[in-house]
Amino acid sequence: MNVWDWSVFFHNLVHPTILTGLWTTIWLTLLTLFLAIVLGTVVALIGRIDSFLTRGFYQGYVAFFRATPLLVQLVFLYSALPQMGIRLSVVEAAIIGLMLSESPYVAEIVRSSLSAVPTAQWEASRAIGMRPLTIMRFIVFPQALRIAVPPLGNEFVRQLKNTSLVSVISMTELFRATDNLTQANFRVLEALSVATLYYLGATAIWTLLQNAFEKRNSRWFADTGVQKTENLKTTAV
Amino acid sequence: MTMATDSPGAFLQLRDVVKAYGHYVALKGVSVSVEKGQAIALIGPSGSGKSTLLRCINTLETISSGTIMVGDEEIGANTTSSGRKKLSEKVLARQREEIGMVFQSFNLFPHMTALDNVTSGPRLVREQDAGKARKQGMELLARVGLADKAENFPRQLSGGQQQRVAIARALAMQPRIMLFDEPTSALDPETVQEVLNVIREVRDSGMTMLIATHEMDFARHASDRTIFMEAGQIVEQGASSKVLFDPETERCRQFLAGLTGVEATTH
Ligand SMILES: Nc1ncnc2c1ncn2[C@@H]1O[C@H](COP(=O)(O)OP(=O)(O)OP(=O)(O)O)[C@@H](O)[C@H]1O
Ligand SMILES: [Mg+2]
Repeated sequence: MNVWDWSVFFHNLVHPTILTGLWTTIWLTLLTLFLAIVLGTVVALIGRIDSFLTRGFYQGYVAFFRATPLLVQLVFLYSALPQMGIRLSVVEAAIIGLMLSESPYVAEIVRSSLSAVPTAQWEASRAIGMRPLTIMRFIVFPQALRIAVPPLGNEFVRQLKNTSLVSVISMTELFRATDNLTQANFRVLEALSVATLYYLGATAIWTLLQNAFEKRNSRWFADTGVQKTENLKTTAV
Repeated sequence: MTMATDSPGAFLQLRDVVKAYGHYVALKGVSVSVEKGQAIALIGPSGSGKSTLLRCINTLETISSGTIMVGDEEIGANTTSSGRKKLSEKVLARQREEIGMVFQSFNLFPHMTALDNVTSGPRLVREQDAGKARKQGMELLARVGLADKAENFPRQLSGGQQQRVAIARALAMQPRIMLFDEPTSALDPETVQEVLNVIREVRDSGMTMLIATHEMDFARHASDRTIFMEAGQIVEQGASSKVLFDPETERCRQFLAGLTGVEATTH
């Protein structure tokens, strides 16, 4: 047996099992990230309400879901809930688990992005006669979104990698598909290389999309240059 | 000590306005009356309450007691014989529409072009038709000398240009009164004049306005009356020619002398 066999590599690269797994990984990432953004935004907005209860809820929520490992959440959803009479399918458990585990990170990003918009923007809007919902929608949210995109991009990459964990509850995404293939031909190196390549490719495409969005908004967003130089400084130190 | 307060022709009328932040009282019973079309300069040392007074007039701050009237309408609250009731947020928002405010730091919306900033009120508050808002917005930009900058974002404009856009944005709501809070304090010296010229033009158009300012030259030439504040109180008020050239109170005299000192060193 050769160390590396190109024909196996190319065979795997377009193998239906791998491509189906890749597709599952991609929609699972996008769907659960989207759901996490919706849920995380709702949680963040609740956390902004100035009351003891809502702030407590927010802190408890973030602390709880950040502290529990995704693997534990997935097994809990799939295997422990039935004991309480709630039976979820593999796909349901995977979607709910990935959404819940990601939501506290999104909530933190949304919360800090909203508070990064200066209060002077609220005042200027109120001074014209805008109502709070209008201000949120047309003034504060677009600015917060631009602030939130770089950190949300990181979350996409994390979520992409996290999807590999749902293989444990037997969902056939890219990693499990790869594993299935090696059961047939025992060429692990080529199969994992293909999977790695696809993970890298998905991240690269995402980065391009993100850069395009940032570029589109760079005409008004003044802080980009500042943030970049600051990052460089911190890494240099 | 107290100067004349109530006058029957007053358009903006403040009576015994008190504003407390917790235990700290920033306005200690301020009474002012301004006639329609008058321009009032508000001067005084830092922390004297100039910004607080302006912010109370357009209800960015809720006053603790007293009344503020614009025309026949009480602003911020409804005072009857049985007490004082704060108005709903909806009514407050409507009142703010008609009381224009210009901030020291411009506070334009950074993600909107100059034109979109100017039309933001008509579009988002009054739900005016986009074409009409645009036309009116272009007219206002032309009025402040920035028609060619309509498509620029705030960060592509100088401080003076941003402040002129901010003035146009406030004017777009056709306010009954304009409040300026140190509109030129954040500007480079060379752009101060262009903003003052715009403010002077607004004044000449007959707008009733209050301007908190450190520009004594401007106060002298462009305001009808000057109010000197200190520690949350009006110490002296009267015709600008009187207050700024020949003040009655020792405090106002000292304040003006101190400013001249500063001006002498900076020029
Ligand atoms: N939100 C607030 N909470 C507590 N105190 C405040 C608040 N806003 C203003 N003050 C206080 O009220 C006083 C008056 O402030 P104000 O900003 O009105 O002064 P000013 O005359 O505008 O001064 P400046 O010339 O520096 O702008 C100050 O002592 C200030 O510290
Ligand atoms: Mg001030």
